Amino acid sequence: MRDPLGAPIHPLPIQILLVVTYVLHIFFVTAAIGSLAVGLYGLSRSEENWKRLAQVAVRLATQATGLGITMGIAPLLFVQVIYDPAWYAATTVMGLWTTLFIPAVALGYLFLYILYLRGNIAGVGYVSLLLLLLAGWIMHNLSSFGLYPSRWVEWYAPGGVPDTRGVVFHGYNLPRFGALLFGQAALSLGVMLLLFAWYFRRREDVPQAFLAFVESQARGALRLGSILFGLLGAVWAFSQGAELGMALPVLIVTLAVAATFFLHSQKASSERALSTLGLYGLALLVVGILREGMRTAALERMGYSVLQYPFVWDWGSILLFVATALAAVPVIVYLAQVIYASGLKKEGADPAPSVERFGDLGVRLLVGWFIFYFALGLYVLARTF
Amino acid sequence: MYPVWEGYLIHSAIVVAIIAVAHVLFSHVTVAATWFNWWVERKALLENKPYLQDYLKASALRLLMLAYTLGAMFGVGIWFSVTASNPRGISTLIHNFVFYWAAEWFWFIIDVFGIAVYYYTFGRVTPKTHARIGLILALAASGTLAIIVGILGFKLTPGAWLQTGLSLDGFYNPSFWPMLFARFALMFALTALYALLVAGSLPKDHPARQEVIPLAGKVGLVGLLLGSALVVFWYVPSLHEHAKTLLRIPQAIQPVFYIKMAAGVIASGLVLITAILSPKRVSAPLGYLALALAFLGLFGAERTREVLRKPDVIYGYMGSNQIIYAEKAPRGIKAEAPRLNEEGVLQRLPFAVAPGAKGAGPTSGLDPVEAGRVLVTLQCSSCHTVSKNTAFLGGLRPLPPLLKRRGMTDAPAIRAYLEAIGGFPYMHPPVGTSEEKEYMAMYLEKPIKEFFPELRTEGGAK
Repeated sequence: MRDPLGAPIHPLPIQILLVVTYVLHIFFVTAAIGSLAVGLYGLSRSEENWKRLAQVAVRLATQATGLGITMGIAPLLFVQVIYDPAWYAATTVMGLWTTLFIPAVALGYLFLYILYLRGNIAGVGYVSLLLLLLAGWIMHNLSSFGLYPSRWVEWYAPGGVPDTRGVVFHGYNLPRFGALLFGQAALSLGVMLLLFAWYFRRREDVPQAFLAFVESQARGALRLGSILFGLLGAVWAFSQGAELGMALPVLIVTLAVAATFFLHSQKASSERALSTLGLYGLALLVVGILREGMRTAALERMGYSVLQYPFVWDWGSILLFVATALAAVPVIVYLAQVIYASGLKKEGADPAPSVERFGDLGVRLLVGWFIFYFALGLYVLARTF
Repeated sequence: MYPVWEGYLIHSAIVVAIIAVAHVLFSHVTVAATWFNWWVERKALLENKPYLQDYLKASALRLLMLAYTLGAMFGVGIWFSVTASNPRGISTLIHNFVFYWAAEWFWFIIDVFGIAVYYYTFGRVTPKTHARIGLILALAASGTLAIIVGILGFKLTPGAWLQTGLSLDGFYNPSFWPMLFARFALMFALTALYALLVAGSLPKDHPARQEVIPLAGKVGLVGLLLGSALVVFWYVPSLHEHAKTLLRIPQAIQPVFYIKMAAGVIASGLVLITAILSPKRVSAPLGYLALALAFLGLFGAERTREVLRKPDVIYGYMGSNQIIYAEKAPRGIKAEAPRLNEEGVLQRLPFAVAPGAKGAGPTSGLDPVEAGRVLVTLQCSSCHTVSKNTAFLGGLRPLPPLLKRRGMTDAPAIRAYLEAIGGFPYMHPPVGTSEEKEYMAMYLEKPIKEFFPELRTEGGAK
């Protein structure tokens, strides 16, 4: 069932890109869910700190959703290259839900924006949360389906008669869904709140008492997240993990992450928010590798080896990708520097002159990319004639 | 071959078309809007017209909320809907162009992150820095167009890729250059309509409204005229003979497609002329109406482009039914149709499942009608409604009425008709053994009787 064209590069770099970009994606997605949930809770409270935190959390949720969606594009691409049989079997057998995924995300995002702009329509926020959770559930099914290749035909054609409506969910595992979504949402929320308190620690217009409140909520979120992740992770290990012969690795990873963040929550502070972010990034990477390991192991049982995926070295496409990365990454860094600098003071602030020069370089890099793009096209045109 | 998702109530291909056109509308508006806004921002700076910032803020907020994120999201939505409806087609694109899409992903990040930075830094950084962010947005948004044009064009005109299998040959394909420039021009017309909508929502006496509306009218009209000319005089002539033939066959490109395109172009043109000659008459509702009509025109244009490669999903390589027909395919790939004709679809394909189908002949307990359903679903459902699952509002080119209209209402007549299908330029002949084609005919008789109960009493009379 593999695509006869093969991959355009050795499968290992694709697999690495898949895991790394998944980590970026899941961080923002879970941060969005966690922020929205705490924002909605905050809206229901009357205390000033909670009201203020609700505003912050809803804004965080809005930006995190946009970034989560954008970051999700990359793993979606790479999974189709090396796991095409598993992915396409899932997307067709659950075709209706596959198609509804984007409308659910789009509507959820739109409602979230309305909540952000209007500030106090909690009902809209709850609808948004439900839609985003539905999208998460769909993605969980699409991903988990691939772990059971021996059941694909039976799921597609129960009793030998194909069901081509694509309405039934298959392959789900509730503890896994709960650990990776709710457990990680609380952990991501904790990290984001710490980063918020760290960023605004020098702003005179932001009360220190509020920042202390945010910090304490961050610690609570980390504690809650670690407990959820540990408990649900253990059930995940003994359910899906055991089915796939991977109970022990799942148990070790989930308990290690849970214990690390439970202990870390006691001493986490806004001053050390960046190291907490680093630690969390590492934890997400380990969980991402675990997910990948489960998929590899499940498919290898059926004789499917990712590293044996046929490939050609398609240098043209690799060249275009690398050239684009070289042009785009400095620009992304520049934009991050601008937004960072502008928020340091209440009335806004310009980035340092060196950053401005970096911005000019970014523009030149983008123009350079277009020159490269057209030159490459003319070269291909000349070669074809 | 993967399992088949026919759609649910609505045919899967219609779902893809709706999402795709929504994406085109949002994304085209976005790309040109970034250039238009950059120009307006420069104007505000150089001519000292700070009131233009009000237009820019209103435009940026809508772009942030709707165009950027929804544009990007519907783009991903096309993937999702196509992975459900035509997985092998999208797989071919992914395996050729994964790094091109990954490159586009970088532009998406700049777009989505950048528009947020752009919006939130109004008045918080110097005007020069803000204008630079606007320029970065315009360049990155154009980068997304620059990449997707190559992939879109590949499906219709894969060009030298069919011989070399090199992705660069498929990307810079014969329709690449005309489509790149035509789309770039036409998107200014869409952006102008969007600008009218935004400016029209400002207070009537706002100076930005009076200044932006005629400017948008001029920019949009130039884009519309130039883009239309590029389509007619460069893009269409760049197509292969097969596509040009289909353009002349009403069964392939229905006249309603041309009507939609013409309506979109004429309505957009009239609104843009009104913006130049009588800007006070332009209001936000008129902008919405014009965008709706432009959507109609886009729908006609995009559907026409999609149909021009029929019967293939990737012209000259893979049929819409996801079977590889190319006899000399790149990278040593072999045509699948001959093998399926020889060995049988039910024996060869893992998801061609029917009770008893893997055994030999009727003695295995095979239900020929059920086997026929599986074969018809596999081969016909990507372009046709083949069952009541997707018959909502008549479905997509539904087979039962189509066959009835041609007098093919019983299995023997349908069987003969199946053999004749290879004679149409927009369809491949069905694949499978002779028995399997019998099964297909036996199944097709069934939905005809379901759709037209009166035929049951006539015993299948024509």
